Amino acid sequence: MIWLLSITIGSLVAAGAYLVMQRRLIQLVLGLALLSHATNLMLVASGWIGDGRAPIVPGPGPVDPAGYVDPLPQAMVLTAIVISFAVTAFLLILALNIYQRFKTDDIDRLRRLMG
Amino acid sequence: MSGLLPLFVAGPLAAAIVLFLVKGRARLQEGLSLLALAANLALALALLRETAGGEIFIHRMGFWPFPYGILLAADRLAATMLCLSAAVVGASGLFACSYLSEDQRREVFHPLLHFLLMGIQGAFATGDIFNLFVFFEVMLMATYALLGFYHDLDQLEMALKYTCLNLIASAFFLVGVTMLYAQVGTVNMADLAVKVRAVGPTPMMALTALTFVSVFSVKAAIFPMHLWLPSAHSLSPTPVSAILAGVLVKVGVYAILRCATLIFPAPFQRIQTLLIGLAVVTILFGALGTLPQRNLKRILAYSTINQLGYIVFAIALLNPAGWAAAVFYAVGHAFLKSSLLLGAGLNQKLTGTVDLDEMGGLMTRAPFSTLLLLTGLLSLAGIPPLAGFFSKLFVLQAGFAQGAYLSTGIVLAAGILSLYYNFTTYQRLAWGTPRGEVGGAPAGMYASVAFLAAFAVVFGLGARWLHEWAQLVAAQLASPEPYIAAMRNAA
Repeated sequence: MIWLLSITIGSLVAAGAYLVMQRRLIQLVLGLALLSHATNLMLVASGWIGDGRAPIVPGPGPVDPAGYVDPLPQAMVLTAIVISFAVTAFLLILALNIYQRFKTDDIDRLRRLMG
Repeated sequence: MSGLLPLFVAGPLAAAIVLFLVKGRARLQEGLSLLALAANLALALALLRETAGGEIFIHRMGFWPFPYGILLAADRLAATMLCLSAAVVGASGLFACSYLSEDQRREVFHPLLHFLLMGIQGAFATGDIFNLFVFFEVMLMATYALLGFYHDLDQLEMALKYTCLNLIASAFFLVGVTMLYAQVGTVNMADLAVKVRAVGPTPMMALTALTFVSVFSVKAAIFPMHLWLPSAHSLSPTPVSAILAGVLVKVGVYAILRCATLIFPAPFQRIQTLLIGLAVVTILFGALGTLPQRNLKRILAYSTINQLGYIVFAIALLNPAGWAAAVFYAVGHAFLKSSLLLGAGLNQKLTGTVDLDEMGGLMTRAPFSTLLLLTGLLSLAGIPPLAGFFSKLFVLQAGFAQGAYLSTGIVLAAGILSLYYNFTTYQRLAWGTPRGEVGGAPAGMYASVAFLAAFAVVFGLGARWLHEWAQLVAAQLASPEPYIAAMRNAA
């Protein structure tokens, strides 16, 4: 399963990097969002152990931790997801603000407006 | 004192919420804000006093056992940085009360200021690298909102650039945490210190250290991650510029220093040459960048890049003398640069411009504000007996003592450039044909600039005292065992 995760992370980074290099602001914002998703997945992958069983204790009594994934990165990634959500929302508002004021979201045209 | 550590985070948070609730009542909001800033400064000074003996204070958040919970830790370095941020943010808050327009005063500047303070102080106090990431984000969120009131395309473009760059840097921070966690399985700094030493300076660990350094050099504006700084520092409202240049860049410096001393001492040996090279390029780039500018705040922004190069150069020497020089430089520069930026704001209030070509002859027409700027510029140029001279002196001493003759020689030569740009700036501002009208400014503005500028003189005349303190800080950094033990045995 870890290979599936690796391929997903790779594709997300590739798509994100491609989008960031495009001309429109909305593509920039979406590209950055994809990049942060990729890093979040990477954080989850760092706690991957063995065959990746969910870290839920089945019942009372001692449990052998081998084979369970590490739950700590999963707790951390929740924080990271919330943060990237908030920053993406802020960026979208910023892009909308630029679009409404200058009637374009093309970066080259905006640069020409700046002179 | 340990039990009071959470107040450095909870205090500003509570203040921000209360100030948000009284939005619209400008006088009440400002009064409460200044009261909270003063209390915060008093708390930071008390902590500095307590840590002087070398004691390390630890607080376990939520009382989780080591190494699973988040720890707040305060050693001499953290206490020094907390004092510095409390003082600079406090002075900027006071300045903002008379700088902002009537409409802006009814907005949410002060609540955001306290959120920013919470992020900064949290970053200095935390003992957990993932928590450091979280506080970085708190701090950045506040700056995104504070950076501008977004009047024109320049400011919007600057905000977009700053936000995107920091978003990418945050992603790389997480990549760094991932790499570290995959190798040693912990995020607690003391636990990391032990386990990274056990792994040794493998290529993978050096790469991890390099990832963290590149993330922090975005904050500390080290070449080639410095490009956002000039526009962000010059286009933002002046009180915010002062905090950005005085404290925010120091958060990056602080994080690099912690990595170099506590977490990655051995991997840093491997990347030392690279770090020194980048620091030297940063010094040169910052100094040369000032030359074609006519905007006073932009000159100060490039000079910030220049100065940060010195600090990182001193850290990259990787010996206690270098770290002491870096701490001395960072403290001196925080007060100096924020006083200069607030001074530029005061000057803007008086003359209505930050363009040097539209000023002139201010020495006779606005003598007090010009003298305050002059103190700062002389110190920045490295004229004895002001603090800037000793800052550079200790860096050069540490460099030559280390035997790094070539790089230290270049750094020494770059000092001439900073002498040149500071003098031409002063000349264009203070002498020449008088242009434009000179108005008045409220006493609060003068008070905050004078408060910060006074430190240029105090740290200059009392350089021995500050340097002794910096050496104590460096001694504690050089032997991290008590720090690690304090974290492990925290009650």
